[in-house]
Amino acid sequence: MKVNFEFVGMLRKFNNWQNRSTFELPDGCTAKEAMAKFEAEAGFAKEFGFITIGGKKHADNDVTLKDGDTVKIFPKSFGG
Amino acid sequence: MTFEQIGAEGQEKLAASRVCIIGAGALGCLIANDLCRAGVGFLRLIDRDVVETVNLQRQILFTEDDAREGLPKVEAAYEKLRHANSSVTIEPVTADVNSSNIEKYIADVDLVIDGTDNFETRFLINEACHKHGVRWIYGGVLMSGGATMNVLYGDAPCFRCFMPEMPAPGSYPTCSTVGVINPITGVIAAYESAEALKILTGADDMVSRSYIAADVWENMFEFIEVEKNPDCPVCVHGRYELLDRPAGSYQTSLCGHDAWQVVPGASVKADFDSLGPRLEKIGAVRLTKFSLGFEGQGVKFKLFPDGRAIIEGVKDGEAARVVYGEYIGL
Repeated sequence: MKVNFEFVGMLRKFNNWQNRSTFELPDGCTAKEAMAKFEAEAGFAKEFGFITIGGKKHADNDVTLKDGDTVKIFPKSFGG
Repeated sequence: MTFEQIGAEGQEKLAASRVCIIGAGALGCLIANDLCRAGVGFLRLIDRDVVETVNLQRQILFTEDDAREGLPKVEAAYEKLRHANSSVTIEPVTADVNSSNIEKYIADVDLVIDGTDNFETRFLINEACHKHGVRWIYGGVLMSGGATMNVLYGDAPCFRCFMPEMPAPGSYPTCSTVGVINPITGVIAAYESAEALKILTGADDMVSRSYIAADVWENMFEFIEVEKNPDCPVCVHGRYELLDRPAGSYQTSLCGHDAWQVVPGASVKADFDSLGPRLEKIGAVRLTKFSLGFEGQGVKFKLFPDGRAIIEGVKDGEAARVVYGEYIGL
């Protein structure tokens, strides 16, 4: 299945400065599994804050992704 | 108040309201300025830090004179705000907010507003505010992005629902390492202030229930629905892991400059009269009614009456603790 990923703010730099990419993922893949793979490959664990799926921040990321879903990856907002 | 949605009745509600702002950095300064000029009757401003030149780029209540004098941020803010609206009672508190003192700061107010620079304090605010039934507003900024969220409890998600695990200190980028540009602080503080006015005037149907994220460089603005965690340890089960933890001695890094804070475990009172002459033999001492500053032997720190110290130019908390032990030794 194809899932769209959007890299918000500073996280864009981990996607060759592109906001958006589409990745092929195995059927049944959860958002948690996808994020673990991306974090390991791109190394943005420090900056990573949370994700939304279809515009919603779920209580946990054990959400099974579907073909055509959009996952937005947001950074942490830390300082004051 | 000519703004119809607030009106005279809303203005009276604001005048009768009590707000605690924790953190007087960029967000805290802007929000305190907004709420003071809006006529919120009581403002408690809490911050642990002193004004430095590096703050002036974005912390609008401070001046070069404040930085030269090394004034505590809340004292400098108080001096500006009391001339902006003398009808507002402003209580400046120079302190590190922790599990031993947060309840006395938040229990007697109607709303708490986050101007802090770290997640540990935010998790603590979330627990203390839930325990005392006080709503609060989260706000954070970094680089060109930021976010805010009202924490209303009840059927709404709390901060722990949004962020289930507290990021470990040092595990995320900071203002010191990646910076923050001023315009985003204005955007996020404006939303925090506006939400505060809605909450305090009882405009409940207009209060945001979204996580609001913005990035002024990346042309991003989003309202995000946050799901309540049905198993949240704080707002569902009432477990207060940070609040119930005994406050021992600890060190924390300070956002925006190369310094660490050392907080003694026991309640102590620094004896400036005794320590000052002793330190003058080995370096330059600067004594004010707010602090004792020392510079010498490659060491620079500021000690406060409650025994807390900010140690500059050290690489980590352990190095700060060593300096504290050698030079202050309370």
